[in-house]
Amino acid sequence: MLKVENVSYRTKSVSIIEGISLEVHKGEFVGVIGPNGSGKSTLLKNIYKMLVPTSGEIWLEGKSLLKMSNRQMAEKLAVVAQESEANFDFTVQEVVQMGRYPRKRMLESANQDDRKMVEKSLAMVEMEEFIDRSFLSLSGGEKQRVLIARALAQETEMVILDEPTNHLDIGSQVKTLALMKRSGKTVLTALHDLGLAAKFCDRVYVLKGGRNYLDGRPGEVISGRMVEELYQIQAEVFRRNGKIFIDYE
Amino acid sequence: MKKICKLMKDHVGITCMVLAGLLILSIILGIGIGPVSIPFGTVWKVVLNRLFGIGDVTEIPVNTQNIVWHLRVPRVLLGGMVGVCLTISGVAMQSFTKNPLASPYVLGISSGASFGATLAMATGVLSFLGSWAVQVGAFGGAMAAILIVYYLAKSGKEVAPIKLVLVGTAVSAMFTAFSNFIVYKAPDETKVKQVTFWMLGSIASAEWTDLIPLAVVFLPGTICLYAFSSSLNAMLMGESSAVTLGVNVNLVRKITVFLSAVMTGIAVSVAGSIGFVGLVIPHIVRSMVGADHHKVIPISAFLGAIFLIWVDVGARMLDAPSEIPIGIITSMIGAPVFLWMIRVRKYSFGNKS
Repeated sequence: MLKVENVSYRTKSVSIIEGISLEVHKGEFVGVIGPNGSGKSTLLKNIYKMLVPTSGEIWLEGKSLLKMSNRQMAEKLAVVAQESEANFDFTVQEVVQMGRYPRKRMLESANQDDRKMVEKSLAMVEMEEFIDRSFLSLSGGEKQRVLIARALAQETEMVILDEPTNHLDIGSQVKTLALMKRSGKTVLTALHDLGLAAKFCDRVYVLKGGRNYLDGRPGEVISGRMVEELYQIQAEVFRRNGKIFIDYE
Repeated sequence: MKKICKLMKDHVGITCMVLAGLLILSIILGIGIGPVSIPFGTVWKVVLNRLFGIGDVTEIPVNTQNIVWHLRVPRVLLGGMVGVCLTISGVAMQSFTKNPLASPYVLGISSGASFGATLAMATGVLSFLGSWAVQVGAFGGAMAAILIVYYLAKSGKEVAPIKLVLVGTAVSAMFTAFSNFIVYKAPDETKVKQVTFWMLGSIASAEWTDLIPLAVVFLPGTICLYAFSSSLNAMLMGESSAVTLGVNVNLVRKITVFLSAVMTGIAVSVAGSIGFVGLVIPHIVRSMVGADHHKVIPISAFLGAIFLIWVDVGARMLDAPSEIPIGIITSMIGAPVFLWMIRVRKYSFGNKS
């Protein structure tokens, strides 16, 4: 589905990520973990065209993503990222409707199918009651769910989550990830919480200092030694019934 | 009030038709009202006769016919078109900078135009162009300003709005200083007064030929910007939203700046710098129907035209038979309306937290 080959991103003076490779198969839920500054977000931004890799190649469904237009990408890949606070007021309906834009020609207005898809997407995030509310009046968690509904309305095979759950409480984080898991989409997400990574991800990629450090199933990758080397804190990792529990000291 | 807003929001097409009706009514009334009041029946007859050659106007005095056809009609149409240009440029600049306080003049267009016009009036460098000298000077100044701002703010292929605004502010100050210097050094007092009057904005001397450049840009500009409504919406949600929703952000930004520069430049060159229209009308419209450009652009265009036609009626009636510069009145009305919206309606740029 998505294949990142040897991607580097450098500014004039610093190398932010160096030779990172990863692969996401259809239907997989893949996490990118690592400490602050390890390059998680930079990597994802290189994938969804907010940054252009200095070198390397990215393939989406066998085609070069770097050569695609934004619009071609938007038909295959939806992104939920953190947004800066906007000053302009849209209703929830209008925000989710934006997910339909990539399918619209210029001057083509929303039809019945679009409206149905908007309602369906809002129902999936349990926000159908909020359809006429002002987006700016919502809480952080509610906004997040609306943006997820927007990504669902895009009807893409794959969704990238660029740390959208960081500032949410644990309940909202779990609900968000569970929702994405249920949606059956191919998901690539940056994550901070190792417990959540262990619970939801099929595979994880661990970054350190802008490079690939480890990858594999969470059960294989997450260990006390890994936590110590990445975060310089002691931790114990327990395994019970195939689940992982982490205790920090 | 809330119900009306909801109705407008849900039925943009009908709202626009109602506004179109109001616009036509405003045009007819605007032509009739003036120091010399002309019955609306007469207005109809003269306009229809001149446009389509129908009806009999022999019993209407030639003088009245001339007032209608050569003074009032071009003036009212000019007012309407300038209103559309300034309002739509205002919408464009506010979306472009993601700042609801941006005016069409934020990129130095107004000061550039003032400088060009001042140069033309005070020094007569463009006198070979005859009656077009001031307009050409103003438009040239406006375009010079925007080009300087654009090229100084550009880094690589990208145009960052915040940089453009900063450069715009500086270039604007520079041009204003140049204009003031020319006015200060001008040997002739009447020329100074002429320049001052022009800077305040006026459409009193509108002629049919003034309408040509406006007529060329106002409708195509508005439609073109409307065609990018979806992209502009996505860009208001943030750059990453826009990119991942498939918007070619750089292209849309360039088109927005270009359209807004041409529309403002032409409006300023024929009517001087009329303030507050491009700021207040989009604000009022957003407070009624929200930020969706599919709604804001058409409704703003109609309201901008209607607003400026009526302000111009005020300009010729309040101190009749002499004229008040229209720019003074737009600011006199615009500023209190703006304050009222902030205080009474608790309107804070759509942020209802």
